[in-house]
Amino acid sequence: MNGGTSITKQAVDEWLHGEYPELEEDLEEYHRFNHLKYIFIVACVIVAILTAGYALSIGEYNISFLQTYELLWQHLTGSVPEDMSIQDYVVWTLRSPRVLGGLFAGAALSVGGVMMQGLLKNPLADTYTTGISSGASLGATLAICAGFTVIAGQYSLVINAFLFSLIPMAVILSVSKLKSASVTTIIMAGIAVMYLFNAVTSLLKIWAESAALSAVFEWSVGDLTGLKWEEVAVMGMVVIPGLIILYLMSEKLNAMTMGDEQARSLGINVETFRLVSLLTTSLVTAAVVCFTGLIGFIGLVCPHIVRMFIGSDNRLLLPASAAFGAAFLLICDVIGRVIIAPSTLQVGIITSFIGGPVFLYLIIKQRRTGW
Amino acid sequence: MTTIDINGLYFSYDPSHPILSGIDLHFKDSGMICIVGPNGVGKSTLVRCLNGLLKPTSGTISVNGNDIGEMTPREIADIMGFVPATTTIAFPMSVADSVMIALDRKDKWHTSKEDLAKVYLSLDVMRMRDLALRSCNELSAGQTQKVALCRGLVRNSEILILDEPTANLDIKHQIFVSDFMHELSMASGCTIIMISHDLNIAARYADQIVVMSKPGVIYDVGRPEDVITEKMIREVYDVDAEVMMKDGRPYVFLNSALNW
Repeated sequence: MNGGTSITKQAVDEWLHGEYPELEEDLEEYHRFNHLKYIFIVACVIVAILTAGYALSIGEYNISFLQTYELLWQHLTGSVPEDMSIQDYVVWTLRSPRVLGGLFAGAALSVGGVMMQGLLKNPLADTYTTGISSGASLGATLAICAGFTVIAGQYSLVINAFLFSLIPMAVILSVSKLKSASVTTIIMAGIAVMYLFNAVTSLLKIWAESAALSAVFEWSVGDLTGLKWEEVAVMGMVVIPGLIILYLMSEKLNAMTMGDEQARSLGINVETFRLVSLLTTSLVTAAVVCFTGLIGFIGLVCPHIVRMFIGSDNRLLLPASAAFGAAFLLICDVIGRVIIAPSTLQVGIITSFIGGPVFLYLIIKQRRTGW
Repeated sequence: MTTIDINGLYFSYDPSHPILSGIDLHFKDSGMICIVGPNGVGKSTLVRCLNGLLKPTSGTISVNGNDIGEMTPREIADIMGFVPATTTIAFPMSVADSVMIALDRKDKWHTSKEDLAKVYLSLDVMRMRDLALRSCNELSAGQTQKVALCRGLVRNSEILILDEPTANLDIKHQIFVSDFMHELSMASGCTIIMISHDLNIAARYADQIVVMSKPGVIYDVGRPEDVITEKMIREVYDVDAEVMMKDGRPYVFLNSALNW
């Protein structure tokens, strides 16, 4: 009979008794290592708050940076002085929806990117991988060019974009019912629907009047201009609970990034988890896209930038990406508002203009060889 | 007491090419079980069916009297740990965090001192403690395999399934890991099921050996000294070998392949 060596007996003994001499030092080192990640999240939140204050202060009617916070506080507590009613109107009614909408959109698109990349184990995945962008584009193009809307009224375009953006996801879910909901199935089904929708959109554009074509183009670039409180409220009603649900899934998402087999062996019902999280991500993204149009870059690259700073533990990556995405989108919107003032540039253009070079710089600068 | 009963197990992706053809196996507190056999005889398929990762075409598998086919992934994970032959993390995190994923924590959102200590302890056992805060994509294949073993260890499962756990390890680590698993099964009473291509590792450390051959059938099951024979190696592997006894265990000297 083989007997274990003293080294392995000692190792087994150590394992079963649960301690070794330097354990306390190691645990302290781990906590120090993680504290830096929390500092990054707090820093992103602070930047987002400061940028929000600045974004509320700029425009044709000048209001000081600190006064915006004071006005917000006075409005929320119902103590706005009578002589400040104009400033209150400017900050609360005109500018706050745009800023809050930007925060929601940035957080939602960035977290959506984290989810899609983690679920599909693909660094090139983003919130639009399941065809949301092509669906929303088709919905908007149908409304603008062909006058076809699901419902009539003020929000017909928004509702068209929202409903059509969910069609690709519905197709993916149906295909997944027939075949297994593997990563490849989902990506391929998404691509198939995307091409089909893009073809219909192109056809509609070819037939469209020039004014309608211009409107479709403007919608597709992505913009926060003109957001109203009622729109931001609807956005928030979907985005906030959606982000909370996705955060609750982040622990299991960690296991999913190790592959279906490993995740299943850790007790996760892989197919169900993937479908529920894809559906939630799609709803959150669609709720943003239908109001803002297509804002690129955030969902694809913000998660990667955040990973460079805090790593890939999704329990931290999700809140960090939400804070970073919100701050980043708002900064881009501010730049778009001031760079050629009094005109503005759409935030969708600025995000790619600034984000692209920043991302390239970080890729070159980072020490590690992969993500 | 751990019992594993596999009855009439068939598995195939295509009915004309069965991968498992009527497997019957029964284990009761068997310590360390090694599954050996040539490439493509269904070793990995067998352990994946056992772990509920693959659904058998027919037949039943029960652990401690419970049918695996009726259990949820969560229930299976509660009794069985699984370390695949290769693991790729799409977006690498720190070694310590990647081990923590496998930890069965009560509080998923707070890392308790006990949880962290268990992770570090597993890394210490595998001599990976110094790399705890290193990113997983900076590790060698062997180090990655040891991290995967840490993930298997931290769950403290009643049954731990290891798919070729020593494939990327140097000889020192092959011996250490195999010896450790054998000692662990003796000291804690857990059942280790390990796939190995190294007959000498299997012969030296296994309490039971399962020999599989084509087309997905069991050739023999038993104690190493009964199973590891020159005849078995010739018939199953098509290899000429000499088997000698050393410290009561068979030792294989490989001579030559008989056919190609």
